[in-house]
Amino acid sequence: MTARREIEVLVRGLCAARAAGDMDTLRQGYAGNATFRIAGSPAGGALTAPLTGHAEIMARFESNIASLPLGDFAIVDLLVEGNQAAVRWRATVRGVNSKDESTTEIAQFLEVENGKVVTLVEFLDTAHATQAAKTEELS
Amino acid sequence: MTDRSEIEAFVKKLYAARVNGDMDALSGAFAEHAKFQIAGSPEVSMLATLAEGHDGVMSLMQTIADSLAFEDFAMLDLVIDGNKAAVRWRATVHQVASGQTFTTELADFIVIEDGKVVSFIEFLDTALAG
Repeated sequence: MTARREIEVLVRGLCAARAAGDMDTLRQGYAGNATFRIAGSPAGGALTAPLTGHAEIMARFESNIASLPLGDFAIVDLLVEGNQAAVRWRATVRGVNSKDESTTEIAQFLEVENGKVVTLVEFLDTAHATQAAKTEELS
Repeated sequence: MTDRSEIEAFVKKLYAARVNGDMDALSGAFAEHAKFQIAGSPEVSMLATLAEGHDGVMSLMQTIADSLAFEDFAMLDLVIDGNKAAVRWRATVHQVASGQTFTTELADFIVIEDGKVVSFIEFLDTALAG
């Protein structure tokens, strides 16, 4: 059982690492058997496809960080209970190719075991993410 | 209301009311100055919206109740921290106008004061919802 304060520090650190593109912190924060899923219809394709295992998750983070870097990151809400956390954060997304900038809000539900994330379910503006990805491809 | 069991009971009643379209129960659950937001970019998703004040929230709730029917509701996660609750839930949604049915997952961040909701922020699959 990870203490509440530890979970809070872990989650805050991982959100900040995601926004800053800090892959070392992200690698350390996820368990080997972690799962990551963006909540959404299977019609969302790769965006909503579930990922299993550290390597798959890190590959996704690297890809996201490379194509859609984040700025002006802020945690808006963080709830912790037992080994679960729910966090809501906001950031500015900037397309590397398109230079398009927009502010978006993300919600995450996490389960933590032995100081590492074992489950991450993320909610984002899937319509906006799909459009941003297409714009990047065309730019 | 800050006791965990009270918050849990309140949240479960709130979702029962929402799923059943029980407007009387919903009306009693939201504070006069409540806000209800569906997170997302209004430029891309027609559902992204913000309703403020009891009347505004109830108007949005009525629109949702009139246009969507929920079945097979399941609460997947409930995280309670002080007077806040985060809920991850799944339901089969029937669009009244189009007749379309789909199963989807949502997340809500709720703030409760004096036994009523003052803030309700919902995340949904905006690409699916249109």
